[in-house]
Amino acid sequence: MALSPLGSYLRTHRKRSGLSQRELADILGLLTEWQVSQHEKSLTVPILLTAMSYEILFRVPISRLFPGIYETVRDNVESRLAELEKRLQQSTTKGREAIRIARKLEWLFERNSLVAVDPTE
Amino acid sequence: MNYEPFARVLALDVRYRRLGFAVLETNPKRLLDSGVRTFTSPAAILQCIRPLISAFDPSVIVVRRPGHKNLRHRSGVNSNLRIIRTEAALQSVPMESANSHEVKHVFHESGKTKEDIAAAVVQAFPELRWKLPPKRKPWTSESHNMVIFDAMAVGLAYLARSDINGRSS
Repeated sequence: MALSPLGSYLRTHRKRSGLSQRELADILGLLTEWQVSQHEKSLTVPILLTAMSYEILFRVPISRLFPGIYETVRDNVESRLAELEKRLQQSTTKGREAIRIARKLEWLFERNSLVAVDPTE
Repeated sequence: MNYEPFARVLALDVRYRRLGFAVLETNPKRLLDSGVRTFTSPAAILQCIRPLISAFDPSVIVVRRPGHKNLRHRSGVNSNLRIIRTEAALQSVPMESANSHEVKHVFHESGKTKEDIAAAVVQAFPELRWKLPPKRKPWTSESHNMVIFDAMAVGLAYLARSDINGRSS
């Protein structure tokens, strides 16, 4: 069985800093340390502002603070994008709509030819 | 070329009524968490172990084989280890062990004593420096935190062993 990264590495960074959950909650402007605990255990996903606060505090990108969540989101987006590409390729429309579809396919080709950098590494 | 596989190791140093733990991840090698848990009865050890397994989903649990000369103490530790082994089996996590000779062999360049090994661990993981207790006097008891460094040493000894085996095969 392949071992996947943890949903959240917040606890690792917090313990490294020596901060308590209460102190971290105060710094981030959260109401209780319970929220930090939930984020550390990946039981809840932090809102964007809180996630950005974690990034600023620990100076670690969100994708590396939450690699498990990041991988899930990435896989979902990539699979939906693949479905969209398949649908566009099977499309038989003509005229202006065909030009739009061609542009989208062109963009998808450009996007796929870019070397994907995995920020979790 | 990097041969090191991705693994997450939950290293434990189990004592009669407490345990030290360290969660290590390879590729890159880093310390995820460490600490001490105390328990009042052998059954209560499960309340310490279960949250660790569910939080970190380790690929392996490594424990130190008890080498204590006191038979009563050793049997107490062994019963704790049996409970952990059962729990690991229930959660489908393999369990490995390392003895003190293996640990000392890995850290033979740093010295023989626990303090020397703890100092070597701190050198590799400076984030643990603030937890390193001062050198123990002969008339003082062992620091509460020392068990963390023992757990770290067991984890690192296991990783060194698996690294050698992985490269030779």
